[in-house]
Amino acid sequence: MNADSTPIERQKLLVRLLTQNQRRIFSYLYTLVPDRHAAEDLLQQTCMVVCEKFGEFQPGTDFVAWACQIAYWEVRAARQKFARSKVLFDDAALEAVAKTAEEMAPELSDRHEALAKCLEKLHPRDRELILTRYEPGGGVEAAAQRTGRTVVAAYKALTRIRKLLQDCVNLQLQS
Amino acid sequence: MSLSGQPRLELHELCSRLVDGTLSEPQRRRLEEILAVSPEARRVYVRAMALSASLFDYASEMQTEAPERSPRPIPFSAAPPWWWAVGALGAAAAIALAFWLGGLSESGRRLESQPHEVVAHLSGAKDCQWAEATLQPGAPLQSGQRVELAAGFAEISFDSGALLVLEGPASLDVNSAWEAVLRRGALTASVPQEAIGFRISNAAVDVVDLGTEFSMVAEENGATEVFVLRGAIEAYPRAVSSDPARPSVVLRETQARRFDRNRVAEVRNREQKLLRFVRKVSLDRALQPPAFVHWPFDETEGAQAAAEAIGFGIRAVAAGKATPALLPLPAKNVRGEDRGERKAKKDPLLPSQAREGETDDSANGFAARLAGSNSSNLNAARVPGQRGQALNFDGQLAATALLPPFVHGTPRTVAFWIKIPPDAGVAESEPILAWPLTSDGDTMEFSWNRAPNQGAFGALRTSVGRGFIIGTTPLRDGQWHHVAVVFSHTLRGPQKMQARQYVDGRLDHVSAKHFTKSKVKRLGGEPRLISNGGEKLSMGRRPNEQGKTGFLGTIDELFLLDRALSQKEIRMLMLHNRLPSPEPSVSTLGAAAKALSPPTPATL
Repeated sequence: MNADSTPIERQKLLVRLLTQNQRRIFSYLYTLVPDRHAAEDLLQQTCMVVCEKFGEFQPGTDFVAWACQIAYWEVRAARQKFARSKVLFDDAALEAVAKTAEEMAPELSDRHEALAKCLEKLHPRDRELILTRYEPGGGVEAAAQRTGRTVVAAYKALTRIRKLLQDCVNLQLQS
Repeated sequence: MSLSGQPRLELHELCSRLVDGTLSEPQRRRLEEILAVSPEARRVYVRAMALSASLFDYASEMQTEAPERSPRPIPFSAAPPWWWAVGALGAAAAIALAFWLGGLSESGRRLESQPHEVVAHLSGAKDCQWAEATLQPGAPLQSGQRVELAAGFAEISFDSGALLVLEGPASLDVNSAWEAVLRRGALTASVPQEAIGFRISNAAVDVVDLGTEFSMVAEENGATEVFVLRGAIEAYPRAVSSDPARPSVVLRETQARRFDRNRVAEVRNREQKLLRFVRKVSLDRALQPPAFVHWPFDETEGAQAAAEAIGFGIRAVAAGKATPALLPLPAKNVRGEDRGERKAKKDPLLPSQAREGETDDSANGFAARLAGSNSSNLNAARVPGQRGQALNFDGQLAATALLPPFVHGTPRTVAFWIKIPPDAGVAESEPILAWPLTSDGDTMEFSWNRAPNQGAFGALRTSVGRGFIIGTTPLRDGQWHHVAVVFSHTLRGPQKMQARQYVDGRLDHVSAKHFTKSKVKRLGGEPRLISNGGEKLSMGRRPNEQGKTGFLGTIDELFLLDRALSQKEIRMLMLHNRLPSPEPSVSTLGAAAKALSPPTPATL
């Protein structure tokens, strides 16, 4: 009997795979449903289904791809619940974007790692703004307030900083 | 199809709007259209969304110590190398700003939330009847305190600079320097530029100020009417029918809305209701002009820089030159007593060298004495400043002056302009100002933070012994910044103090703080002088520290004042180099005359 096939070992494997890959699954969900809270709800839902169906997962195969398939169908199922403002695209567009995101999974992992270095290079004021914007409970207003900007200026600065970060990540990956 | 130039820029803009929740319906359709036809656009889109997802992840990891949320533990090996520099910033909004100078805990542990933090004070009152504890003008208000006004008018000044006039019967929760909850009753809010983002909420609506004057009336049933008198606000209705795609309502000058649990509606009899806010109310205040010492650094002759002092019993002028009185403060206090004369009556609090009328060398009183390694340092010390001349510290120059006779445990304010080169090194971060606190070598110091593992690098750092507070605004950028540090009482007990740092007139958020059991406490329970005649204010390096490279940068218009200034007073000092005249006793509840014009449709 394979050690991985005992119930306890399967459970350990499930916990490890979920812990290691939760961020990647959230990233995929956020690409399809660009609303933090909606994506987090969907992540929770997806994790429950992953736990229920883990018996069908073949160890050694791509767990993230398998979980993202489940996530995709959770998004489709949630269309009624979320309305268009949260699930942005119609089914055809959703499928096209989902397919692109799946294909880019390795690249996106590299980009995530490179982003840490790029954040380090940011001007502290910009870094504070962007991290305040994205921290739990944060937002554009909070970021504007914390960094002494107007809300309008903060929106503009965030657009600029995201562009800077994308360019920096591109450069990191090229080198 | 390869994306470049304008289409790529357009796509970035659309992605940014999508992420920030400002994408309009036509823009959404445009984005869908672009993504449908272009695989390259889809890749750009996926990268943009993945970037934001990663930022959520990193920002979440960086957020440490928020007292209301348990942060996720970060395995040290998994943390990026800069986590320590930013981690404390994540907690800044949530950590209370109090900085205890004595009596809490040993050895510099991190502060947790401080429910007793003073965040506002009662700055004016008229015919107040209090439902619970009676408050007098000047009374501090702490975080979480409920103000129950049965009748009359109460003016509340928040440390952020926001000013509320509450009309009884009313109930207001003071949550922080940036937030209040109007439970019932009416208020008028005036929010200066520095306090933009100030928020007033209740069960019906959250109002975020965008720099304005507005009134709110909260009824017993929870319904709330909001009138914008000047500027603009952003209101977030809590009504169940609110459109999730358009969560906020922007109201501009003269506009009003009624918010209740079910809907947002126009205000009936708007003009009639607005009349309530144009009444003039005479408020009682209890503020006397502070005593202060001011070093303008304009009159520097030889090795001395002139100072002027009002209220400390001496008007000191170096080198026989009259220093222009830059602050046209009234010489008399509220009791009609000349503060200078009062202090001159052999006040035991006066340092012995600072008696009025002395003519020997010590008669220069508070004049700063410059000391450099050679004469060229002294010649180079005078440079153009924020106003007139300033004192430039090149790492070799230091200056000392007599410390005003502050009493330990009493409120005070230190304010100055500072310019620090962007390439100032860590070795050149010696204190801008310092003075000794105890004979054990404990000092009060104001510097830029050179320890990134303790707080934002380059931000203002106020140290009291081993305790410190660090702000977030970088000072090390070659620009002039106005800095004010305010020490005021807390409600935790006698001689318990908190510090507030203001940079460029704005209450600076705190990136980190530590507190210690202050050795000052050992000196005895009686009020006593911080300065008893022997202590010196050191500029450019620590007291009695010779030989080391000192501070690199320029300071101008240094004030030491014997009162905790409000944000409004700090702003006045920054803009005009003087304090506001005593407040007029008449306050208009709102500049609402213009609001009586016909309503303009609001952005709903």
